[in-house]
Amino acid sequence: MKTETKRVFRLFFVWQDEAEEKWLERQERDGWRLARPGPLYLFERSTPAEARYRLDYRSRMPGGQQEYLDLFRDAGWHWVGRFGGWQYFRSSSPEAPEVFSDVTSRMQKYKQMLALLLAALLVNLITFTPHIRTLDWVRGVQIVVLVTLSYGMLRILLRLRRLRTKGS
Amino acid sequence: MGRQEPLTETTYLILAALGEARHGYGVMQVVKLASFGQIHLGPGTLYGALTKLLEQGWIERAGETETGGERRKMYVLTAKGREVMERESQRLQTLAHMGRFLLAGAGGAK
Repeated sequence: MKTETKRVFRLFFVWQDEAEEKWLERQERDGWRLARPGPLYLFERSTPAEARYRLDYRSRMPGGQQEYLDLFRDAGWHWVGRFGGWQYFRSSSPEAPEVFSDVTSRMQKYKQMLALLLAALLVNLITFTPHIRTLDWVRGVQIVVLVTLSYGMLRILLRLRRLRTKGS
Repeated sequence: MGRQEPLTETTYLILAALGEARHGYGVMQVVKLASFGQIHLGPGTLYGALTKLLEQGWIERAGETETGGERRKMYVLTAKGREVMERESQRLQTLAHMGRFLLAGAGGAK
């Protein structure tokens, strides 16, 4: 028998990782288990259950992906897949520890994201200089991207401050 | 020798656990055991710390082990790591002694 599936198209901004985790947990509670992440999410029919979903961000894995995935699996986290640098994990075991057990490492995750946004912002600013002639609509798109990136960086900076002062 | 930055609790415990060669999950287990179940190192936290410690040369790879058909990479403390660990233990001990001494009202001067 073929498993019933559904596809959902949904975009998340980088600073909405916690909202995305909660959304995936609601899907699981409604009987839809994540099979593949991405802007076009694939879900499979499953028994409604309580599970935790967590997103980790890794821009580099010097020891290779296997070493990273082994560590998560041993700790009770099932790897669902990745989308870009985002790694999606699911756990139905209450015994599995949280992915990040201290504030320093949680902050590290957001610092990596901040570095990525900063790089994107710089690329955008360089191409934005008035010396480069371009079409009006391209300029328009660039402005939207610049505003979005700046807003994203602000959100992440605020998250980092919250982590530093309140620890959560 | 210059002062070294205080280590985070996580880093300190990982270094201590790697006094003998272990794989990542082994580190999680032994830290949980030693802390009477109080400290559960998260895989994201542990992965980040191991990567950083390897780059700093405080730990190194120590081959692989096979348990139940699964191969796991092992890590062990280097001489440099042991030195860092010793110095940090000394610092924490001195600090704790100093704290107790002052708290007990010793030292005299008001």
